[in-house]
Amino acid sequence: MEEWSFVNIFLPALLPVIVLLVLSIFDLGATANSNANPFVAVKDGQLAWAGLGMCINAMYELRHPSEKLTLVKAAIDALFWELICAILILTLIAALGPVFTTSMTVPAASSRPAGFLANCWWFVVRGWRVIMHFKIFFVTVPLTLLSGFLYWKTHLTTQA
Amino acid sequence: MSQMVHKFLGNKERGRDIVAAIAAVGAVLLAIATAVTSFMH
Repeated sequence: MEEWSFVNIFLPALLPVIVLLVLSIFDLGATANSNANPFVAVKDGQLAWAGLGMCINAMYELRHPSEKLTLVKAAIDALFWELICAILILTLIAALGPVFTTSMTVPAASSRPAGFLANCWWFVVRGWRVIMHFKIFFVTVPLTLLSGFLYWKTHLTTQA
Repeated sequence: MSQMVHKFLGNKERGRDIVAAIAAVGAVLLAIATAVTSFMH
């Protein structure tokens, strides 16, 4: 099962990012090097494409279960509708993420204040600004993980 | 129709906000549904 998860869930989602990580080591020229930053490749919700693939595969496995399937109908229906919802949301992100692109520059924050507590608060505000700036990315990550979980669960319960 | 789409999605920042809001609400609801139904066999 670990090998199955690696090949079907982690590899499709992470292989392009790993290739970009390797590429970013080399000198490709200023523009290409800044584009080889792996975050550029995923900041506009591109992980949704990988999640979509997982959900479509899960839907196929749900519709073509093994003969030993013992899942109750309610569980099959629940999986079906969860996959439909995931596909709709991921399609929205995959289609509109690149339309409303996010710049790599986070709006500047005020300068760091003195004092421990003020500094801690500054980091919290700064972190929140980064999350809100890259909101499409930060909403795509849990959705892709959820798609991986749904695919894994569907495979485990229908193909065992 | 075209004007309505332009009104809502014509602004890049607002368009991103709308997509992120729909996706975030959907993700939370989907996570709850998955958690609730994961005990069904």
